Amino acid sequence: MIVATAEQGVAGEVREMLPRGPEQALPIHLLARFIDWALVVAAAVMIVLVFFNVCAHAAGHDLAQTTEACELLMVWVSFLGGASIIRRGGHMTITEFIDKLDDRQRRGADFVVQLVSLVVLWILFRNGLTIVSNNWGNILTVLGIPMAWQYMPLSIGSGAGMVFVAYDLYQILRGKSREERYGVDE
Amino acid sequence: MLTIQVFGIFFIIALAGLPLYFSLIATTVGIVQFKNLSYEFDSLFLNLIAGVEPFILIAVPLFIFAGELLARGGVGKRIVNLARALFGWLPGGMGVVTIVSCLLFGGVSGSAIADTAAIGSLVAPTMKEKGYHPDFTAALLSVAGTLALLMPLSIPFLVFAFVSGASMRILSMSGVIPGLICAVALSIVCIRYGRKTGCDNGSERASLGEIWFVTKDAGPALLMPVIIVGGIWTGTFTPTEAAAIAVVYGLVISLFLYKDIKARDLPAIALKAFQTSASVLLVIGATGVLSWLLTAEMVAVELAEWIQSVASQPWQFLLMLNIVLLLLGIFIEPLPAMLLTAPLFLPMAQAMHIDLILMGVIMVMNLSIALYTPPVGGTLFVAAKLCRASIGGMSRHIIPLMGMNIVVLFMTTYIPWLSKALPKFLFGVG
Repeated sequence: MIVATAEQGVAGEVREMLPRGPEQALPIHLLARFIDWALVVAAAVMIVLVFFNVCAHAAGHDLAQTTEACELLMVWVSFLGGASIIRRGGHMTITEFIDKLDDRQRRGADFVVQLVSLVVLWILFRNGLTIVSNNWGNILTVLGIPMAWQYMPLSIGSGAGMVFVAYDLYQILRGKSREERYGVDE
Repeated sequence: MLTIQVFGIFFIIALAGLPLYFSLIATTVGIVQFKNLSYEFDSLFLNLIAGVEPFILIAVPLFIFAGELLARGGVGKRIVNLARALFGWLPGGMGVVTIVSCLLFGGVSGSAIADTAAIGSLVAPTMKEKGYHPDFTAALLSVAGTLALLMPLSIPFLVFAFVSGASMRILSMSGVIPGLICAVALSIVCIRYGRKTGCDNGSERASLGEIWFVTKDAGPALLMPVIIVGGIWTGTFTPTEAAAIAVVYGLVISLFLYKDIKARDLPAIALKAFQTSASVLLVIGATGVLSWLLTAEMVAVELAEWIQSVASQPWQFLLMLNIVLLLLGIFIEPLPAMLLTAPLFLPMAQAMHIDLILMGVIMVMNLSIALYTPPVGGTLFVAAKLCRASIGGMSRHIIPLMGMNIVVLFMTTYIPWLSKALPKFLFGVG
């Protein structure tokens, strides 16, 4: 299996501007990189739009377009961010009890948790697709684009999350501990 | 009956280690499936999307980003220098400096974890040098860091304003007096510790010239909450717009004035901030899905009837609220705990004519205590790691500090003036 290391992966200086996260197979690593950068770009656009709105407001104009665009971006950054932290095992979790387990038991517990996570993500992914397909005909009031674009991140974020969780399940089956899978500080 | 099933399923799977976002969705799906309720999942999950898209919530990632920028941008060390010049001469002075620094930094970051990490990394080595026990330093940092949650740019206040419909303008000011009282109470513990152990009898008083220099140095950072709160106060901008201004102001200070971060650091800071906010926002959205189900199935009414049967008077209700939140906070992080309980407690509070602002302050104070209640807690872990202290050793020192905060919590609960005075003075309402 090809694993992305500090020497490999996307070339160039840009690569090092974002933390690499845990070491994972190259396709998983590239997907994670794409999601991380998409999140950063969407966040940057959102910040610019909100600040632009402040300036417009100060100049006595109210721009409904920026408000609606920001709400759309908010959905994208939430679900892309959700996928990005699944990859780092960073979702808010009560670990008080499973932290007390020894390595082998912890791997077993992680396996069950990730299996349930995969099922939940599949339910979100499948229903997200239904929501998208039902909303190509409904149009966002101000932006004039199909509402499906606003609902799409649910499926995309959940789909990417499924890939990361499935890969983690594979790693657990290979006997890797949590520290090996996510790194000590993740 | 459904109430017990919902909370039973949720707590079992959440305590088993399933992330809270998935636990909330799994509970909703499980209840709909096993009770054969006739709700379409795609309609239910529209609530998940609706829960993360409101314009006001954009303030959450933006304030987190602004806080990250300032935390990494050298603001912390300037604030510590200022606090040291003002209070370093007191017995237990470094402890007092820590508290004042956390209070001031909390005013610009709004995050307890960022507060503890940023101030802790600066004061912990000096406190060790002076002879403070690492367990005491860690305990103090874990408690003082939570003062950030009572300051005007508090993220839990913002979330409470969203779920309750309370005015963010009033909420942002209502925690200041209780926060200041907490700071004074904690300082008393530090002064007593400094005297009792003899480790810190205070340094020499700073001259007026030195005070002026450090004030000038920290001034631009301290101006940020003034601009933000001033803007919200005068109605010049909304909390979301204020958050965007905080980001731009934070960028200008950190990149061009203090120059402690470089432009190429920004993507990594943004990534971390938006990942953190995504984990919060998805829990908000998933709570929206479960809350919708609870409302549709009249669970809130069922629970309200039960609570009213055991706590019919407002003072009894508030006492029960405090106890439930303190217990819940032992296991659950503050924001999810607030999101889970607010939809249940708010209608009851309104039925008993308890002020929403008071409810907000009480909930945030309770949940801030949860951040350092052993054995688990966000600031508890950060402080323990920074000071290389043990949770067991810290617990002994946390007791008097937590005791002080619980006294202030009950004062705030039963003396509403404490949370209402400042908003009333500033806005004429409260």
